[in-house]
Amino acid sequence: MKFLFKDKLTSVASLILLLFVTLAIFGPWIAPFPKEGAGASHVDNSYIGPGWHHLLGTDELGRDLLSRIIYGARPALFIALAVVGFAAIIGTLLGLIAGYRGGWIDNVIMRVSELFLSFPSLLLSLVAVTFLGPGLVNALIALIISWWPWYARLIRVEASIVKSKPYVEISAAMGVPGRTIVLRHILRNVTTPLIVQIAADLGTVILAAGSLAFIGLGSQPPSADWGLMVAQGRNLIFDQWWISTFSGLAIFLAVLAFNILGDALRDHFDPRIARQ
Amino acid sequence: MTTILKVSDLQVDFMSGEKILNSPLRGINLEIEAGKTLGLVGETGCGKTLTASAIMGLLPTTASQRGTIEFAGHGFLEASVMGAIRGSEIAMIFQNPQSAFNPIFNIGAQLTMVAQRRNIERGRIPELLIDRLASVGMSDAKRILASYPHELSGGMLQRCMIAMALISTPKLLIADEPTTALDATIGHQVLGLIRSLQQRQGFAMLFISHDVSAVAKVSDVISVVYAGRVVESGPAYDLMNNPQHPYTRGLLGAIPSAQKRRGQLTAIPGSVPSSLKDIVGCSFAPRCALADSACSKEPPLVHINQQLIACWKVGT
Amino acid sequence: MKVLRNRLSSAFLVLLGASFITFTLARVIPNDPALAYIGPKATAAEAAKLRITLGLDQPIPIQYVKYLFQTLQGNWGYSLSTKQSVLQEITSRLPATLELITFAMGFALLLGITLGVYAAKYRGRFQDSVIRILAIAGVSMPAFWLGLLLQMLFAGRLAWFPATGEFDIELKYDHPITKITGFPIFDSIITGNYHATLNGLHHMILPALTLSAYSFGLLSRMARANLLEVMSQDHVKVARAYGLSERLIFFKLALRNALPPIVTVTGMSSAYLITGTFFVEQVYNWPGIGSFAVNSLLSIDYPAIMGITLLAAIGYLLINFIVDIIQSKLDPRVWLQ
Repeated sequence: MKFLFKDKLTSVASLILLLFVTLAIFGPWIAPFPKEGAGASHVDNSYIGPGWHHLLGTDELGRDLLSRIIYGARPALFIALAVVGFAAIIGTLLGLIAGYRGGWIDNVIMRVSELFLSFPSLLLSLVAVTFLGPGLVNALIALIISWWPWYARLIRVEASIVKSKPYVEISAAMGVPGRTIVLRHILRNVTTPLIVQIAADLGTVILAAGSLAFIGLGSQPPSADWGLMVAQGRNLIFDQWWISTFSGLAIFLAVLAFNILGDALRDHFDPRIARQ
Repeated sequence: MTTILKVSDLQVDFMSGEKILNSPLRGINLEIEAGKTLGLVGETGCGKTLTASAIMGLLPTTASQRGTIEFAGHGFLEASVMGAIRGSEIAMIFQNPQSAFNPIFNIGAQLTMVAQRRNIERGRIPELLIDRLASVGMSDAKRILASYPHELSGGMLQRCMIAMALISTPKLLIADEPTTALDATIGHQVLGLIRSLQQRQGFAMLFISHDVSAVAKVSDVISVVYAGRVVESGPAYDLMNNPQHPYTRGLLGAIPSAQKRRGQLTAIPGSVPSSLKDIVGCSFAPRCALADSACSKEPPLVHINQQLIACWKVGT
Repeated sequence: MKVLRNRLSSAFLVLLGASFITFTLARVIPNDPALAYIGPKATAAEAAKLRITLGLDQPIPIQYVKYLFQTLQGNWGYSLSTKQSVLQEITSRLPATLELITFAMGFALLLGITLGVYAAKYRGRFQDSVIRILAIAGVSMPAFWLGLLLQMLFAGRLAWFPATGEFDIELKYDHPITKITGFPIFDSIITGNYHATLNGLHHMILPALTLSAYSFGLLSRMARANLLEVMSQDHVKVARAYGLSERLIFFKLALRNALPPIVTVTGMSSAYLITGTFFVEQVYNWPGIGSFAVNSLLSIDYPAIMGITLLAAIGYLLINFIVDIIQSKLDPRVWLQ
């Protein structure tokens, strides 16, 4: 755990992440204007610039921007965890089945995975969410659809490597059931790249979800979704710049934190490639 | 006989700032005469390759070096001078021929780069390379020069490396485990090739290996290294038949050979000390059957008959 | 040549798969295409008649096969929103997007590789840290946000660059570009219309920089990491042992070795460039496929969506194919697999 603070950059990232999680969990109690954060409008206050009363200003419906951003942490974290979680689980299951069973199941799963992967993934999500209809849950499903193949392929490759290793045969000869050995060894070999990828993916999903929302295919108003908020401030960027700027900044910082930590994790597990 | 290389009490520490992290070389003493071969023997990790790096002036920046290295009469060699000498007067061949060559360039290109470094005229280079390749037994020179490293076998690559080393006419060839990564038969051929080239061209050689029998075949003098120090050194024949130092005895007892078919192979109990910087007294003492209270002081390397030994329990 | 055949057949399968996925999504998920076509005000009877006309009453596999045949013949359907042929919409907008992508890729490669190499050379020092932070920032920034920021700062506050569009509106009258290849900036160069070229470049800079950020981050990190890894490999030590200069080793030997993976990453990052245009073109009002795509998505214009999906798949495959060829030239160990 100490590596989380191994240098200045990583420490900053860890703190940002901590802040992010705290806001996601305790947002409603921290936000200065909780009702506005949740969506209540206060039109008299529209378009107030950043200042003492409203630290980050207010948006087009007079809602305190800081509170909105704080409230936006929860859906962002939720989407990140949900997409990566489901994608990893589904992908791992399919990868295990494909790797262990082999045969036509293997072929089908792998062809489908490769198909999905030989394609810009965001496009797939965009198309999926278009036909599913806008909304947070649909965006979630659309993202999961395009995310699982990477995990499936990772697990499948590892499974087929392990399956052919001598120690599997030997253990089987000694009476240990094949399935257990394979599972144990696969999971052991796969843990490191899996963790590193998950950390990076959490950031990437937030980026993708934000992109979907920006276009209008993600969370819908009056949700406090960072991507949505950037879109809402889009045409006002020259005068009421704070709306898009701070909302987008939130996305940027969250993704940045995850990426930096993903790097730190990778360095931690693979010091062979000495970096500094 | 002129001394080509003389290493006196070479010590190397790895530093982190002011702190010493490790002391892999604690006292290396070597002397090689022109045209002769010195075999450097010891277990993996005893500091043999590091010694070669030190002689070449290629120690990492974290290393701090003490002691003297004299080459062909030159005293301490500065980095700039080393740059000119490296590859021309001292050449080195390495253990892993596959990884020693750049995978992206063909053999010809890489040999040419070395030749250009030696300021050989452009026009003369192709015929020079063909000649060198022929001298290492590769007559199909044109094809070899056009090949990429991954297209050639280990044995062929090692020959190419020898050819590369002989592009100039070095006074000293350092061979670091040249046959370790090769099959036994191929390794044997390469060994024979090196020996015959040496007889023809007259360079001195520092032959490094953990394989005592290979060393015995090519060396005139053998030095045994243990835990970063030379513990015994002497003419090959004498050392092989009459080893003095307990470590050498153990090492030679562990060689399988046709003569010893009926005896048992001896294994030296214990293992090499891991942290060399904290050793007090004789480094071999913990594993030595002859150790006693005298061994709590580090024995100096002294002349006994024809040999150099570092042990309290020998001679006088 | 056998390798080529394999590549083509697998590419074809991918395209087939891509079209199948899009087709399935469009049909299986509830959204009545007929209603979308004629609008919500139609009566049930009209909708039913239209369904028959559009062939929507037939079983899905048959519809798919018909769709395939039509596509291969060049009939990509008609856009529900603009009522024009999808293929024509795409081809008319393609040049603008391709020029944007080209410039973005150019920036990313130039800046990315140069800074990555520089960071590797000064590893551990201040320059290295700065470049690494820039790179990771580039990879973390939402393209749409960066676009808006650049727009606000450089077009709004500082007014150094225009905020939107491919060219100034007046250009059409003052210095119209003669269409030769269809690529505006390129055409303006070859016809000597330098006013237009400068104007086009002026408009191109902000969007191209925005689009390049992600690829830049990716490439510079790759370049740095690869170079450092190569420098620690055995053959570099051997080169040093033969007296080759550090300069030669770094710039010729190590760099050439580090290039192949960089080339691969370039291919992969083109996916981000393709989808990135959706957002960048929106922000900068760029008349390309990206903005057309977004509009099609929002209006559920399914023929257009399928056309764009197919196009994206083709583009991505093409780029990666070219990348593989370049790769095999650079790295003799790679057989065109």
